[in-house]
Formats: sequence, structure tokens, C-alpha cells
Amino acid sequence: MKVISVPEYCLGCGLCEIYCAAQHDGYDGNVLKAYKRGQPTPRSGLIKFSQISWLNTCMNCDDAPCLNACISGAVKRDEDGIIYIDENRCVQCYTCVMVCPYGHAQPSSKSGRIIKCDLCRDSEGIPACVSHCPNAALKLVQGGAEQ
Amino acid sequence: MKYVIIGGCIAACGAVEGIRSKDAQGQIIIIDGEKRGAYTRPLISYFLSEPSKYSDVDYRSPDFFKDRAVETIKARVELIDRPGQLLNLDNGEQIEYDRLLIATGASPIMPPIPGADQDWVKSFYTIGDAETIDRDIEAAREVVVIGSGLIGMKAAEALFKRGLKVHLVEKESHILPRQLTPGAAVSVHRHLARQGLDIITGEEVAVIHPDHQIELKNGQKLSADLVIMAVGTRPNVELAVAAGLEVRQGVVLDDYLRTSDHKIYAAGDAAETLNVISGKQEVMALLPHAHREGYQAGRNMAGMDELDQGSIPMNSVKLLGWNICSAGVTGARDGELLSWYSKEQLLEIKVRENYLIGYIAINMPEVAGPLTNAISKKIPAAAGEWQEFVERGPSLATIPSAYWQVLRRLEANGSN
Repeated sequence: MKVISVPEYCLGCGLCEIYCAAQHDGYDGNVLKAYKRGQPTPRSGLIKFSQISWLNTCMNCDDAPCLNACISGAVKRDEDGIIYIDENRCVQCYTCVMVCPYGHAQPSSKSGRIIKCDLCRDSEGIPACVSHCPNAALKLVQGGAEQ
Repeated sequence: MKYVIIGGCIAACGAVEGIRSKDAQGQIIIIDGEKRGAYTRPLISYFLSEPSKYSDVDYRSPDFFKDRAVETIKARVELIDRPGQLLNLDNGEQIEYDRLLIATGASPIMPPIPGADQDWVKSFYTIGDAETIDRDIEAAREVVVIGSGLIGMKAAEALFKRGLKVHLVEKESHILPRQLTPGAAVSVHRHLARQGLDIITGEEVAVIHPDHQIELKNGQKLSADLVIMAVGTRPNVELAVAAGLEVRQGVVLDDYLRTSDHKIYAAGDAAETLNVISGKQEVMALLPHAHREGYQAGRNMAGMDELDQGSIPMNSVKLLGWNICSAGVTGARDGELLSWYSKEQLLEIKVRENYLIGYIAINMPEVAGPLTNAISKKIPAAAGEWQEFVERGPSLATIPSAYWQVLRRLEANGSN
């Protein structure tokens, strides 16, 4: 499972980032709480250049470079196939960042910890970025990417 | 099918995963000479810096081998009997194999410096080494680390964090000589020196005197309660040599990770594998590679005929708060050097024709992933795109569009 972007439809508005951040770190999807009182940290970043933009989501690769390269066993895959970071094991060496072809996994600018898309696995329903995209430029699909 | 793996660390874990991805039934036996099970060697410096926080250095969960029906025998292999397809163990047992994996790893090099045989001169390679050093530094104040490769740097950092005065001696002209260019090394050197590390480059240790004086070739003397020797590692190839397998620096493999005996495979720090940038078979003793090679060898041992894709040298390391990623070639003669820097960030890339062949990224990991993959997957950019990437300010948005197009194709394939 993964969220894919359709650059042809993406307006670059950034609502995906906003709702992503609000869905994490205990803000329970409350955008005001996250952005007025918190330190919102989107898991996926919007990439924009000239007229093209897309949300740089995690592909949950079948043979995942981040998972294979992790030196501490902190990168794990759950029963649903979602790759996530076990923060207790992460030593912030950034080897996963160095091998991710998409540049998806990134250190948080706030904590230095690795953050990545978890497909909103801790909440009900489809991922927040998909449900809040105003132009249907994000889709939840089956399968991972080949590497 | 009966699979036997010599060595029980990262490559072995990869091999178990690879074998089990194709063969759920076959018997797997690991012969492991290390007391500790599969642990992750790069974590030993974290352990040394803060033992209570990083006491768990296991690579996989405790049930990893049990869950995959792997039997582990704690013993050393004395001989590979190729005609008989069996191993003689030091506990007297004999183990037969159908397919064998040599995953014997590497050992630290102890250079013949006079005085290096004293018991306060240590290597820093196993969790056992780290535990010994942890005990020894209780009463220590000063330490000399010889060698500023990744192991030496991480050892120096850990001991510095423990409050010791650390002298780092590097015989090359700059620190991290295999990862950094002289130019990139300057900023890292300055960062570490400002924090209080004493770094001496272009100098060698001549004698380690019994009175705890460490004499350099220029006559300078350092005092130390402890010396850490970190000048590099060499592949453990003795068994392969004795078995008559082809060995250069490491065990020589074909494109399927088979040795000159096609029932025997090798992976990890003991093996030479394809460096896709140099096009040569080389020992690249790095943890992600050990896992990948083990996995690929495991699949081929289980009957697949998959070509090994090779890899490139790459590293990501954090030193006293600074992140340094590097990959590919960083040597002076290779390609065109383009660089970008701001206050505490530096990016150097090496471009040959329209191909990226190497990079160093200091405190800018955000672009490291695509750069690593542009090198290893040999994805060409359009003319001038790499120059533009640097000139416009390196970011994911300025990565050459040709790169993103290739990834989109992979994405599309994967979702089928």
C-alpha cells in the first residue's frame, strides 16, 4: 500500500502537508491545534519546481533500501506492509536517508529524528493527505515500488 | 537442500532472509564463532558513548533465527572439505552442506608499531572490545586513537563524549581520507577541533612506550592511559584460502556471488563484490552491503539465478552533531568537481559526462538519497542539469528531472 501523486493534477497548494502534520504527533487531525499552538511536522514533503509539483510520498518498496540498510534495526515493516521507524532503536545515523531513492525519509528539522509517511496507520480511514487533496492528485493504491 | 553459513552476523541474517524468500523448508545451519549473536557493529560506538542507553545492539529480534527455523552452532570451522562437502568444526563435529556461504567478516589490522602488543593498546571492532574499553576507561583521562577512518572517528567521538581528552592521529593529510576530499575534510576537522578533539594529521605513531608515552615520528609525545588502534580491517579469508578457493584481497566471486566452487558462495566483509562505479570487484566492508549480498547469495543458493547488481561505496555518519553522507568516488582525478556551501553545509558532487559519480554532503542529508541512487543506478541527466542543480541551490526540487522520470517508471511497475 502507498500513496501516489499525480503531478498533472497537483496544484501545489500544500494542503496535503498541512493535514499530514496535523494527523501526527498527537494533534488528532486538528489543524488549528497543530499550526497555532504546536510544532507541525509533515511526514511527506511537497516538491515544486516551475509549474510541476507533487507530494513526495513513501513507496513502501517491496525490497526496501531503507529497511535493508538500517544499521540498528530501527526501520521495520508492520503486518500491513507499512514501513515505520522504531524511534527507540534509531541512532540518527541517516543511512536510511542516504539510500532512499525518493529522498522521502528525512530528519525532522525539529528533533533530528527520522520521520516518514506511515499512511496514517494510527488513525481510522484513508490517509489525511489523500482525503484532503482538493483536486484528487493523491491516490491510495496497492503494491510497492521495485528497486 | 541443506544450507550452511559460516559466520552469524549481518550477511548471515541477509542470507537467511534470502533463502527463506524462496525455500521455506530447507535446513539452515549457522556456524558462529562469536559468543554474541548477530549484532550490529556500527552500534558499538554508541554503546561506548552511553552504555546504559545503547546496551541493545542486536541486529534483529531475539526470535529472528528461531522464527526462520535456523539452527546455530557455536563453534569455529577448522576446515572446508570441498570434495566431501563437509565442514570440520573445532568441537569435533562434522557438518555436511549442499550449499555453503562464507560470511566470515573481517578483522582489525594491528600494525607493527613497537609497543602495540601492550595490553592497554586495544582494537575497537567487536562489542567485546567496546565492553573492555568501557571498563578500562573508568580510571582513564587521556586516550590516543590511531586512524581517522569511520571506526577511529566514532571511537574518538564516543570517548570524547565520556569526558576523556582525545588525541586522534591520522597518517594521511586529512581526516576520513576514504570518505572526504581534502577540502571537505577541512570543515569537519575544524568543527571537531572546536569541540575539543585534538586532531593530528599527516603524522604517524613511531613507538608506544611502556610509560604510556606515545611518540610520533616527528618526535612529538602524547600521553595516554589507553590507545585505540583503528587503522582498518582485512577480510577473514583463511578458510577460503586453505580450501583452495580463488582469493585476492577478499574471496573472489562471479556475478552470482559464487566462489570458484559453485556450491560455495560468499558475502559481506570477506568478499569482493562489484563496485558499479569503478567496474571492479572490490571489498566494500559496509553493513548495508553485507546484508544485500547475503540476501542475494541466499536467493541464489536457494536456486535462483539472479545477477548481483553490485553497489557503490557509501556512508552516512554523525560526528558530534554533524552529519556526513558520501558515496561513489571522491578521488581528485575523477570527473568534474562542483561544489556548493552555506554556513554549516557543504555539498561536493563529481560529474563525468552527464553522470553523477560521487558526492559528499555535509549537514544536508535531504538530497543524499537521490544522489546515491543516481550514482548506483547510473541515471544520466540532461546536459547541464547537474551544474544547474548546484547553481540553483541543491534541493529535491532541483534534482535533474531525468532522475525523477526514471523513478516514476519504477513506481508504475511496482503498483501493477
